[in-house]
Amino acid sequence: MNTLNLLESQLDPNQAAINEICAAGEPWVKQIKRGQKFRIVDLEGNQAVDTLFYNASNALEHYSATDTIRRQNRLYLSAGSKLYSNSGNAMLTIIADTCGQHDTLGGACAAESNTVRYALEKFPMHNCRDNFLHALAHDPLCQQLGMSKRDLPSNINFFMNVPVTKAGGLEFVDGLSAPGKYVEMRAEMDVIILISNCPQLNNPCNAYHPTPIRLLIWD
Amino acid sequence: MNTLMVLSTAPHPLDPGKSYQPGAIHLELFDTPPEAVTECLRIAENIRALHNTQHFYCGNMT
Repeated sequence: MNTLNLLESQLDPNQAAINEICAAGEPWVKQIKRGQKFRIVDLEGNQAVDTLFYNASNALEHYSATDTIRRQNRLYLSAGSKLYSNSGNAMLTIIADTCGQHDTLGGACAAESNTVRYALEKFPMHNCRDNFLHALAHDPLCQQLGMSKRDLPSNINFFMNVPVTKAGGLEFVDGLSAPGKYVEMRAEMDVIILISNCPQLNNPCNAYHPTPIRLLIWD
Repeated sequence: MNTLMVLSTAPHPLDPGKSYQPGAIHLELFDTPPEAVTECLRIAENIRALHNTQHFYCGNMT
């Protein structure tokens, strides 16, 4: 295991242009402009925050997990990581991180994946894919861009701990995060942020207890 | 399920090779032997996934 890459921010929450709470298990959508800074705070600890980014003027360009991993030769995200799009553009740069490691392999939980991973009766449970679909269909920013379920690429799971074993196995384990830990990034282009504050109750990604997150944006 | 497969034999972007040397591959298609299905069903996730596929075909898997 490599040492965690921790870097604190100098930005003052009192100076933030936007300071909002996203309740446990809920979706959240916002547009940020190039140069603005965006922070996610894990208020109570061990809360997976499933996140996608889109070019604010063309949703066909979006966050790409494969490009982000491949271009930097790194499996995990932390301070210094660039978040690449499917067009090879750096969409955002992580500029501060007090958690130290974030996942982009585990994907978003879904009704379908819950039936396969856990039990067929788990289908009706609240999940990230349904949160994403609801936001894509009903949020005005998503509607303006004509987005639909075709616009759901592989996502980032901020604060989620998905270690890869030497044999290549994936494990969903208890998080590295703790109350008040945050990750902060600078937008390199105008982007739409789509978040599902993960409602998963079938594995330890939220410590079996989904909690709220705080979202801050600075000019 | 009936599946459309798309392949590309372009060398991987992380291939450290100094020269661009795409190679040919050989493709063969077989009927699935029963023991392969039995092997697959040793994993509980696979049993549930195949149940979902049956559901997709309304139980009429041919």
